[in-house]
Amino acid sequence: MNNLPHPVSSPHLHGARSVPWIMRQVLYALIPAITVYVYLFGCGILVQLMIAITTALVLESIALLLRGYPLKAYLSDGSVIVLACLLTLAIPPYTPWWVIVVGVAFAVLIGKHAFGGLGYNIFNPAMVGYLFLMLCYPVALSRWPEMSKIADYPGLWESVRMIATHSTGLPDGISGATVLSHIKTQLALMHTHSEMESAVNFGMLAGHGWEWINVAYLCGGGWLLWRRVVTWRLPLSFMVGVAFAALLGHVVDAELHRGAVFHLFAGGTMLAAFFVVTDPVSSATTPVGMLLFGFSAGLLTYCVREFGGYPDGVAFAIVIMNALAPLIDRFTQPRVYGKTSNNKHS
Amino acid sequence: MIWTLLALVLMAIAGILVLLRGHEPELPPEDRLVSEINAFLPQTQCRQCGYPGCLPYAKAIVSANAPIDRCPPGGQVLQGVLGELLGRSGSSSSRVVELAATSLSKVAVIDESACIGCVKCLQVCPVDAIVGAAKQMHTVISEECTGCELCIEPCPVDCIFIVDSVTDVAQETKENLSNACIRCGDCLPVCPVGLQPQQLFDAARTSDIDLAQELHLFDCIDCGCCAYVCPSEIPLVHYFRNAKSSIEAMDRDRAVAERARGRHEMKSQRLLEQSKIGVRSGLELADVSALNAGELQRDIKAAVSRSSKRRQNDNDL
Repeated sequence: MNNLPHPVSSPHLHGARSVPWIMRQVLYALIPAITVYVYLFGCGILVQLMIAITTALVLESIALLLRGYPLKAYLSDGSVIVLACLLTLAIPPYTPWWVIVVGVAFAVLIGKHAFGGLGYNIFNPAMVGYLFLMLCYPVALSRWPEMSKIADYPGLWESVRMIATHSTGLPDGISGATVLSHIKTQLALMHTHSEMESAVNFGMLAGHGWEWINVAYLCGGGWLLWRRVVTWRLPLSFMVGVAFAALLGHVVDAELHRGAVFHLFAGGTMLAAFFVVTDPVSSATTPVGMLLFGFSAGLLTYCVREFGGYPDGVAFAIVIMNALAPLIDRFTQPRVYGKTSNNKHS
Repeated sequence: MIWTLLALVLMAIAGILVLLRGHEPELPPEDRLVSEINAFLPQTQCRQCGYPGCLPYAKAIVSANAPIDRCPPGGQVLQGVLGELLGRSGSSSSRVVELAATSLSKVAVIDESACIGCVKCLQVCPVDAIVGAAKQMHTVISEECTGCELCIEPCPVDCIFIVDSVTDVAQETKENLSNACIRCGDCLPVCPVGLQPQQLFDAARTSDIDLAQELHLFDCIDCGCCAYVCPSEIPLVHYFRNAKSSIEAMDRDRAVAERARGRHEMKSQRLLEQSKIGVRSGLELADVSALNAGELQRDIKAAVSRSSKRRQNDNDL
């Protein structure tokens, strides 16, 4: 406030919500998902989180110093910690340590600071980092632990050792494909969905285990909605977009396309719906624009999943929609009080 | 094979030629360019450029390749605009930089108690903004005055001053480093008018006045709800008020310039017609040269003593 010429206009009081408060709420909302991760995959995720957050804080400090910004005020807003957590949750828990370091570095330095830091980044930095890793290290990012081998998962020290020393992450014995990539391979082999049904990969709602991660994200999303950190528009329209496209595909050919419930609880749908699509910086902000943004991102997610070369399409869909967000905002201006619906003088 | 390659090369050459033709800048008619430049000039008609007015200067820029850095009231902004328009740059060490303070926000004021009614200032005023008659007190119509300072020098009793006409409310709002908008959108639902405070903030911060007006900046009622809920505590209202007042100041300047241009044209026209039919205006007839020399000296002395007495009184107070 000190840089402004005085006197600064009223109001001189401010609401209780601040940026650090918002970021804290997002971190709280991620706790259920992280718990489920630990339950399903062991302690790898915790080690990864430590690495990611440390890297993020160090790189953010360096970037802020280079750009001549006050360090304390900007580091304490917590946005970079949220970024690190989201990126960590998107990659397999036992990938080698340098993968997450490279991903966080790209996300913080290129995705965030090259565009001007918090509030100015066009693309969601976490998704930018994830896509970078996806394109550079596709193999490392496909080695998810197999759900049926839960007993074999390493403990905390074993996880540290594996992440620090293994060059490929999980040994072949306990690594496996996620349900989405499993489907992709099976479909490529001309198998239909009814033939795959018996596979151990499938659970009650979607992929075995993955459904519970998505339910955990949904719970966290409920918390965010309750604390009014996010509004219903973006998450709901995103889910409707995915569900609508999935339903359409399922009706057209049930043997090649699974139903709406599967797609809602598979892969990163819920993570995207509540934590990525709702990133206020890079998504649309007008009421109608939010609905349009979420719905289109949902459609695109489904399209990349079903027709693209990658198992999950969340990151691509969201980055594409990020690029369109300013345009959407421009053309979905709400009606101004006292004007007609075209915002002309009445 | 060779023929295919040849055909491709020929096609490429043809394509390049077509592109080059399309790229050749089509020279606009000179008159259009002149009026375009004239529209950017401040219309003070102050002659500081060395030409008899803004239009002649514009013509000289186009036809005589006159330097574009000769307009102090326009300042560096004008120089930039003209440089972009014409594709050339003025010398950076020009006097424009030093004199850029002159602008439309200044007007001339006549110390009426000291005026001897010599009509010299009336004759030089490019926009007929001084009223009066021979041996009668003169006064400045401040709404029409462009602050060109041309009337200062001819005044025999030094009774004309330049003052600031309006206090400039539009202060430059500095970029506030510690408050970055995270576009959370909290300000949207609270705006009673249904504006987009965060997009408006972007427009105001970057001085994008077109965008700000497109986003209905002037419908903002300064209620402060957006600034209250903002988690980054950005003084949004302050930004909006600054933007509003700077846009209003610009509109005001533009209106003054437009009027000044019209009045200057009218005056030139009048002088032209008078010279055609050989009529000398009443003002010229009443020129001080026609007055008795002794009478003039007496008047000047009286005026100087009046004004010095008044100044002394002011000092005593």
